[in-house]
Amino acid sequence: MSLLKIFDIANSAMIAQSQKMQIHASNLANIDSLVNTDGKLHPYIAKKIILKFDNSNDSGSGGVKVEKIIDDTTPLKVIYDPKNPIANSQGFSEISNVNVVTETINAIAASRNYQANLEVLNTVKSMIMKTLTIGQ
Amino acid sequence: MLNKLDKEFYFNKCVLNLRSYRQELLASNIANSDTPNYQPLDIDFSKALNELLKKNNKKPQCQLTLTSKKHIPIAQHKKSENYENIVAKKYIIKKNKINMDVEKVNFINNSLLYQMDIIFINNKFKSLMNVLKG
Repeated sequence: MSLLKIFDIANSAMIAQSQKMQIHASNLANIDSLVNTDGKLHPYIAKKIILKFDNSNDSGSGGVKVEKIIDDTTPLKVIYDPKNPIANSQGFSEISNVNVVTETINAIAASRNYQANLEVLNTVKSMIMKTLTIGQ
Repeated sequence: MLNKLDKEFYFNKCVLNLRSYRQELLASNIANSDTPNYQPLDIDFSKALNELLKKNNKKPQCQLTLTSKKHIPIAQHKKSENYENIVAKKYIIKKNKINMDVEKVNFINNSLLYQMDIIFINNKFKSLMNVLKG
C-alpha cells in the first residue's frame, strides 16, 4: 500500500535530517577544539554530510540516506596567538575552519526540513484514519 | 450483484489508488529536498487515470463457456488489479528543479482530494444501503 510506504520515506528523511543537525551541532561545539592525530595536535576540521536518494523500492519513489560524511575543504584560518600550544615559531597558530554563520543557518534549514517531514507523517496518518472509515 | 458493485466503485478505486501513489511520490520529493541532483517526481494524473479506465473497457482475455443460464460469468476486470505495473514507471514525470513550496501545496492538495474521494465512496455506500433497506 502506497500510504504505508510514505511512513518509511518520511522516517528515512527524519533520520537523515537529525543526523545532519547532529553534525552541525558537533561542528559548533568543537570550534575551539584541538584534535590529536598521530601524536600531533591539529585544529578541528569541520565535517559535512552528503545525502543521497535511496530508490530501493521499485515504485520510483524513495527516501533519503546518508551517503558519506566528508571533511570541509575550506582552508584553515591563521591567527596570531603565541601562547597557543600549536603556534609556530613566529607565534601564528591555525584555528578550526568552522564557519559559525554557515553552521547555524544549515542547522536551522535541517530543523525546518525535519518539521516538514513530520507534517507529512501527520497528514498521511489522518489520510489512513479516513480510509479506515470507508463503509461505516 | 457483486460484479455490479465492483463496477460501481471501479472509478473511485482507480482515483484512490492513483492519489495515494501520487502522495507517495510527493512525499519522496519533500524528503529529498536537500539531496543533490535529485529530480522531483510527479505523475500525469489525467493521463494515467484515462489509461486505467481504458483498461477497464477491454474485454477479458479468457472466457469460460457458460452451459447454463445460472452460471456466473467470470469477473469483468480481474486484469486491472495489477494497476501498479501500469502506473509505476510509465507516467512518472521528472522535473528539473525542486520547489519546496509547490511540493508542499501539491501534497496538501492531493491529500484533500484523496479524502474527498473517500467521502464520495461513503456517500455511494449510504445510498446503496438506503436502496437495500427500502
